[in-house]
Amino acid sequence: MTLVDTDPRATAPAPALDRDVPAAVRTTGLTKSYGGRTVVDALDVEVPAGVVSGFVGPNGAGKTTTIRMLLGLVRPTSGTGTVLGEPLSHPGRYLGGVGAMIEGPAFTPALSGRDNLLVLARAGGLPTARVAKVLDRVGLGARGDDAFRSYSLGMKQRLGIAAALLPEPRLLVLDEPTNGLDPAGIAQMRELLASFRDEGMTVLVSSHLLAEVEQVADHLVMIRQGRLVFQGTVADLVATQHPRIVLRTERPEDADVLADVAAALDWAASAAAGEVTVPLAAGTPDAEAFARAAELNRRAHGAGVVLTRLELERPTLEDAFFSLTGPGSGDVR
Amino acid sequence: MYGSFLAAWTKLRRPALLWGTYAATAAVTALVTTLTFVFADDAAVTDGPPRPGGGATIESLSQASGLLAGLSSAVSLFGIIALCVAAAAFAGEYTTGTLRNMLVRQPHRGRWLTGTWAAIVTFTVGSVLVATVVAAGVASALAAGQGVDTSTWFTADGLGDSLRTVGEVALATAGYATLGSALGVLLRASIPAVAIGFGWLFLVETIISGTVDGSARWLPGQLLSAIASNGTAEVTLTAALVTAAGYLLASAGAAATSFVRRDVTA
Repeated sequence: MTLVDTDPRATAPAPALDRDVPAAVRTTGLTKSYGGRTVVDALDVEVPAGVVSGFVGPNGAGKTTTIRMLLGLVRPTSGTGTVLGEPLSHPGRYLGGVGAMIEGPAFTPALSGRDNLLVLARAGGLPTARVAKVLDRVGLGARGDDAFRSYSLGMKQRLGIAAALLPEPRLLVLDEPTNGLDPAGIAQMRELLASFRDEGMTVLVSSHLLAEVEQVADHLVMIRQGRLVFQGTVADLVATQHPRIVLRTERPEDADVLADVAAALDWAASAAAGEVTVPLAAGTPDAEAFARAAELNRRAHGAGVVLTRLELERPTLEDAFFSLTGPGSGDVR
Repeated sequence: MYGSFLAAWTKLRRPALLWGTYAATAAVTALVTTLTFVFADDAAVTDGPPRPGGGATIESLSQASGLLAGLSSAVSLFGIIALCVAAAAFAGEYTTGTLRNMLVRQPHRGRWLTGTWAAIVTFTVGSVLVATVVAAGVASALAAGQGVDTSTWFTADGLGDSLRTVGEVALATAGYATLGSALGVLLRASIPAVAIGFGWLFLVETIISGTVDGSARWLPGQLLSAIASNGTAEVTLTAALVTAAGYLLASAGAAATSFVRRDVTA
């Protein structure tokens, strides 16, 4: 796990990356500047092979530029890296094993979905028989001969995924794949991503929708203003956050009584609007948290306070993101 | 490179583009050939305003090269079509965002550029072949009614002249396609690429060549027209070929260098 101080003035080095662990993507000091503006700033990233890695950050954080550098579309200003073990400076060596959808599905509107995939298969020297297979895989087999411009947004996204699957990739890079999808489309996308991981692919999925990433990713790379904020497993990140017990009393005026009960146990508590919140230490085991909740319930009963809610709240990825980056972190939901 | 060639043809062969372009080329050729024969004079007219059909005479049309006289006359229109198709094809890759997908599948940019250019050139040369059939058919149908002697058209010399004409028109059209490709790559947007290419080659050059003596020897559009006409009084075929080749190599080189080095952010 790498947790990085987000203060732009901070210079504390990130913990050293383990060079012996196989990584699908590894960058060192990756930087991209346009004129005097640094979009990606000395990024040291490592995405282990075989995971679904969420690449998260607000809009404008540098996610797409980083992805374009990984795909050989944008030349880094400085820094080095490898994708599937091959250097970034030679994308021709590794792109045969990489599938990508960058900034949404881009296809020729007048061509059918099938012909659009044929274009890509031919350009990449891939077997054209793959086209029918990937269309079926994303559920577009029956609509493959319709013009791309007639597709719904969800179908366009699925065609983008199909295009990314054409080379039977070992690494799949998807940039905001749920953009514009309805809840059913998002659920389908989630299932697809999980199935790719089950097949042994490494999936790097960028998004500013943290709740979505949280549901599907087991590894995270978090950036803000082009700089690394965190990388590691979702469990590692959440473990750095503080869970809390939330209680609601039947009578609002009993909240203060309940806060006093908690204080008598030497547990910090705050009462507001009929609710009492008891924060726990980061990394508190579930068993201990539940034991405390039970003790509070017991003491509340003893004090004649009736509870209408008793819940252990675990921090979400969004909570973690904002606790790491501070408020005003752009368009992250 | 062959894969990129096939990929580009997969886009070019869509019916609206393929048959639309070829039908437009055929219609233009039929019109120009008809005007050439209908307005052919008994003797060359040296004064007065330009005449429809390019001022061909019954005598010139009766020569071995008369069969495809309409084809040479229509080269500027083929040039416009080739320029537009090429500029739109390359610029469209940027504006639709499809270029990023293509370059992920074919990261050797030079190969993609060459294969795609070759597909566009063969597409435009194909339109010249369609136009050749139309020009020959219309000329054969109109010749007798206009008093044109066709006895030399189908001799060995006549067929040789016709083949040369087709080759020169195809070469000129490929030249226009190359200039359109370069503009599309450099400007990355269809409308500016077409506007600048059309404006310069077919408007500005026409004005300059009409007002500055000898300028047709140096203007790229005039040189390509001269190639299609087997040379003109102002510039020989060889000189036109050499100078035009210089322009084409320079523009293609600039476009290729820019394409290979530039970040793809579209």
